[in-house]
Amino acid sequence: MPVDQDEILALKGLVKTYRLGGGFFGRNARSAARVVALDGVSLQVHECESMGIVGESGSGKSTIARTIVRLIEPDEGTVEFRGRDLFSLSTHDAKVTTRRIQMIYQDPYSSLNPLLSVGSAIVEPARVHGFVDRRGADEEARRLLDRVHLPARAAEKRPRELSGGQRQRVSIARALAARPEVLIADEAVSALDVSIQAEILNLFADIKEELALTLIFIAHQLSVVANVAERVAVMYLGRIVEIGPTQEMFFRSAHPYTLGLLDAQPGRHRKDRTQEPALTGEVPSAVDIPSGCRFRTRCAFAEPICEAVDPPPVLVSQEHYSWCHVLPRKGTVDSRQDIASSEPSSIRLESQESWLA
Amino acid sequence: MSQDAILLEVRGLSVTFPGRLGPVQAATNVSFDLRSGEILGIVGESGSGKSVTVRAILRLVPPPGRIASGEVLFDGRDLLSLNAKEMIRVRGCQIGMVFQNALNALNPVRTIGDQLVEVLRVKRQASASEATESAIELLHQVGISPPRQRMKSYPHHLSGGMRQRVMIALAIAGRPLIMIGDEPTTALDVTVQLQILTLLARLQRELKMSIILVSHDLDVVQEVCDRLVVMYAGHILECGATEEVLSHPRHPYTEALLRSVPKISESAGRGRFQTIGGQPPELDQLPPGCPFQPRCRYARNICDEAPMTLDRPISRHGTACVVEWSGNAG
Repeated sequence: MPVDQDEILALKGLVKTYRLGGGFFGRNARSAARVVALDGVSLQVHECESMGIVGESGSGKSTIARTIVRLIEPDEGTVEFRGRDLFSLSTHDAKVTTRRIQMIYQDPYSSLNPLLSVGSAIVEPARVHGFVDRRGADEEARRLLDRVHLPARAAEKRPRELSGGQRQRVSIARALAARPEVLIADEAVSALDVSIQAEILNLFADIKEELALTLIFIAHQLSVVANVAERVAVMYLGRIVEIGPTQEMFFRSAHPYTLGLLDAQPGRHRKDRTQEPALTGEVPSAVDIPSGCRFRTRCAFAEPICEAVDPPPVLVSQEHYSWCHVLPRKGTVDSRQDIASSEPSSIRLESQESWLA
Repeated sequence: MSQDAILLEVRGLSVTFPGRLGPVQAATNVSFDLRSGEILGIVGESGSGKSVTVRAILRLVPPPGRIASGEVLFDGRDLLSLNAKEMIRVRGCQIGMVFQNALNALNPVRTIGDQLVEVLRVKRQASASEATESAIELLHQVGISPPRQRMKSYPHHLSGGMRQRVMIALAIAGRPLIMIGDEPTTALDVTVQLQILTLLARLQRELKMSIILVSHDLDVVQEVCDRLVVMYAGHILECGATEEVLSHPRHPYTEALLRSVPKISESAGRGRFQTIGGQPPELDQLPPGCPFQPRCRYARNICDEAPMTLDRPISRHGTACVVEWSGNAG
């Protein structure tokens, strides 16, 4: 992917924390612990690319999505859409601009109004933004339903009469009604059965292509993201820890956490099913984030420097960065081998001029 | 007991729920064996009847559902004919169960130590001090550290993975011969999921248990299971050794399901997924014969008369498909 491609979205130094407890009406607000949801996240998304974001629960991936659609206001940092800060827009500009960024949620059961017919639900955004009037509504509903491969008669149904997959198609149609430029899918296929999941993923690929959309695809399943995204960011405890082109990330990863996630993918035909996984332990509390590198408490490669110094981004190869003191220096790991059994000595050494520089 | 001895035989099990148009079959004529020392996977999508089948083994089908027919033979007895008191002894002592949502299954207002001790005192008739020591040992066994301190934790103090470990400790407290896991890793993150699957495999080996693992995720069951049962709309479509089923699926549904699972590969991101097409059927509107036929690319007229029984003895790689297609030829 060319580096000079137009930037459509830029997240700059996003920080979001939540107060934990602190007593009734926040009497003890000052002493209350804070949960860190995002801790300095910067990310550029290019026009028409599909950007994948993966991470375990609590990594902050959904907070990013919600910040981009202005459901959450960050404590620090900015979100720029085509160079304009989304959080300093006037009310009118905000309405005009946010229309162009639409989100699809995980649970189509709770994100659709149960009382609205499918037709009214999907046309509503188009009406609000003045793309169609009352007379054009039926035609618009048919057009949108067709786009997501639902029959026109689905317009008469209520959400409860539809299956999970059909409901997710309706959510997509509703998002498309606002004529977006950016589509954010937050775990949009996670609740679906495999056979249905594949169809919705194909639909995402189709509409992205046909409508020249920019797609931000958030999921906890690496295998899903690997098949959708051109670029992937891996998040851990509120930070991006590695980012790069999909193939680079999955086959020449330079961060121990990404390697651990790949190792944990089920269905890898491990020789011994009782062999302990490469990644032990669980994500530490977001209230008490480890010093230095936040991943070091679970990291097999950790060195003394990891406890002392928060790792800076290291350029591994073109567009591929890793926030790790150790692995980029040692060279990348071919993640197709059994990571758990590979000693650090078996890591391929490559010259890392960028790191030495 | 030899390695291949059969521990549990499920024969012709049917479970029905009342529906608008009469009873609906959630599981229909389900038969399979569980061998001693194996991990058996039951895999299927929502509505396939996998959960209701394993609940029926322990007679835990939620009302108004009921077991309409069948036998569950264990230790020379039919579990479906036992009285309630005898059944209580089977649950926990001989067959333990782990559910998907540990937060619902655990008592929120009692410490995990209390809950373990209670089970140990009832199921092992242990004294209070013996039970406390055994409880600590159990927590250690399922990888909770430090176990002595964790005895005093309440369920909400623990992460999802830790709670699931506690559930497993409770399930093995009565030293059962069989453990049933109903989607035990579904709500967990992948790294924790693998830890729990590894724990199950290790416990199976250490305690010489047999495990039935129910999951919607083909990747999860193939990670640890020796044999697989594939279910769809209440029927068993295919059954056999994991490697055989995955490398040479004999039912078109299994084949289609395998194709639609996303994989991380060098070519990832460039192609489209193969899909099955259509919708999973409504259980009250099943076609005659094979329930998969409306979505099946090999469907023929004879599918309407498919008897929906496996074509080979239950110990071998069998399919319920009656059509001769590439996976099922000769």
